[in-house]
Amino acid sequence: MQSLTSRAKQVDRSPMTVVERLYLWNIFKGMWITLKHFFRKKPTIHYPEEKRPFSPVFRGLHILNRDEEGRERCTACGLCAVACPAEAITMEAAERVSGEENKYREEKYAARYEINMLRCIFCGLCEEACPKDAIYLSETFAPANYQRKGFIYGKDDLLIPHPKENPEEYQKAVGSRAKAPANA
Amino acid sequence: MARPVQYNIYGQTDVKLVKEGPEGYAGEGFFTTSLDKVVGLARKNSIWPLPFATSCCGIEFMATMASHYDLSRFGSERVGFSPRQCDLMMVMGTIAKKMAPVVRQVYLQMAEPRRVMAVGACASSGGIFDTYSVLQGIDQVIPVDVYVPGCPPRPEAIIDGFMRVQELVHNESLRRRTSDKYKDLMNAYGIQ
Amino acid sequence: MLTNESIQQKLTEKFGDQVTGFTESFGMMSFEAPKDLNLKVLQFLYDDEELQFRFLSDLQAVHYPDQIGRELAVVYHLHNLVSNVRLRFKVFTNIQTPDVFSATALFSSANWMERETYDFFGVNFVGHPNLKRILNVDEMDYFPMRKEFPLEDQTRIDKDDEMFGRGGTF
Repeated sequence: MQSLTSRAKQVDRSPMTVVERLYLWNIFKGMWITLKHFFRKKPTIHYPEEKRPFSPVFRGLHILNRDEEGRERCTACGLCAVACPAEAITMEAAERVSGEENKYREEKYAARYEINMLRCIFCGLCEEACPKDAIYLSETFAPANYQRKGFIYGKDDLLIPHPKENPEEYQKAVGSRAKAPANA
Repeated sequence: MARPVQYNIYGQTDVKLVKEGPEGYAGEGFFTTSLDKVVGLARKNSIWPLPFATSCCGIEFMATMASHYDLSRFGSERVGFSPRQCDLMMVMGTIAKKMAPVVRQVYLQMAEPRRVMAVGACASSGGIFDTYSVLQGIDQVIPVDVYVPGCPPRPEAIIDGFMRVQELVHNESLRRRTSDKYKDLMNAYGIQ
Repeated sequence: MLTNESIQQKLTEKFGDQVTGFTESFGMMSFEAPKDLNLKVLQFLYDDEELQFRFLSDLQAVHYPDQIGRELAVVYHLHNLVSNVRLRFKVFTNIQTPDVFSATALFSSANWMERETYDFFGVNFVGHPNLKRILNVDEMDYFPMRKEFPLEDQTRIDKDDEMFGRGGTF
């Protein structure tokens, strides 16, 4: 039969030599490599006890940001929900009434802000779409859970702690990104 | 890179965790209460996973099995590819509607006590694939015990989900699988 | 030496003005023929001593809803493995009677690819031994890749709320 291409090669089918046929030498060679690995550094990270640092660009659970005075930045414009390819974000807007100026930065705010973490693919498009720097993806990965209802993250799970009322937890959330303590 | 915040400290804590676990816990018999604990301990530390990997979450599972994260530290050294020998089915990746009967068949072939873990957005809810061909979450065909979010989830997240499964196995009553509630759950999925 | 020009010359020698639409993009030639002629053209490309297009690397369809009377294009990607030349061959058909002769007798690999094309575009391959759905569920009663479905509307409300976390029932 004519070969299909012009680049066909003959397979080498020469019989094995005596050493090759003995097998034992090759087994020792393999065992020697195994033995060497006993004395190597162990690469295993014992996860729940020791944690591997994540990259600063890691995209994990979302966080809703506040400004320096602790007012929520989100104005419920809905751009994140539109940008979301998985349609995981739902929000309900409400208007700020007088007396709430220290709670919300803009005149409109998100009364309900929910992300379905099972739908979310952590792509970061919401972060890119946000004009108010209100939503960020953090370096915390989303934990597993037993039931579907545990994955609807509401505002109380997503909001960053208040920087004035709860400065310790706020520092924890900001982590190594904290600037020099100017406002603390 | 220029993110001003680093962690979500509320999302990680147990505030969100639904405590009760999957449906189907029943009352204890007086006879086997302590035996439960021993059996639970033994089962917990010898879970054999069955990887049902169809896409990228499966690659992340391979990273979890490999030496850096090493899932065998949790007693699952042996990854079984026969459903009859395995305790935990890990569904990783998009399940197309054509694949759904296969998932169900594999689940039915597993012996009790069997568990299912949905890894990744696609397996647990369909993820971004809200299309004509993709099953919107495998819990439409089989009962799921633990969901792991992420696209794909990091090995840490898979281990986190695995430890939740272990917790579930540890606290399971020996009579759960024969209880009426469990039978009702199975009937809800049309499984006898 | 097999070049796109020599292939074109050979084809027009054999089929005259039946083969049309010779274009070249990224070095790969593309042409079309009437749909009754598709097997004859494929057979000629297969048998000819010099052409030797004996490998069907891909077969699929394209839906052009604006071209009335020739909405569906069935595209054959052929490969000459000896001199490493690729070729694209199209036949157009209307969408009311999308009957095209099956290439399974010539290329065994066309079997599944034609089933896939039938599955997504509804092209009816005449003479195919087992023309049924391959990738989609058997109960499906439409051809999903035809451009007759609107793009998704963000305000759609027929979605399962429980799956999307929009309040819902739980």
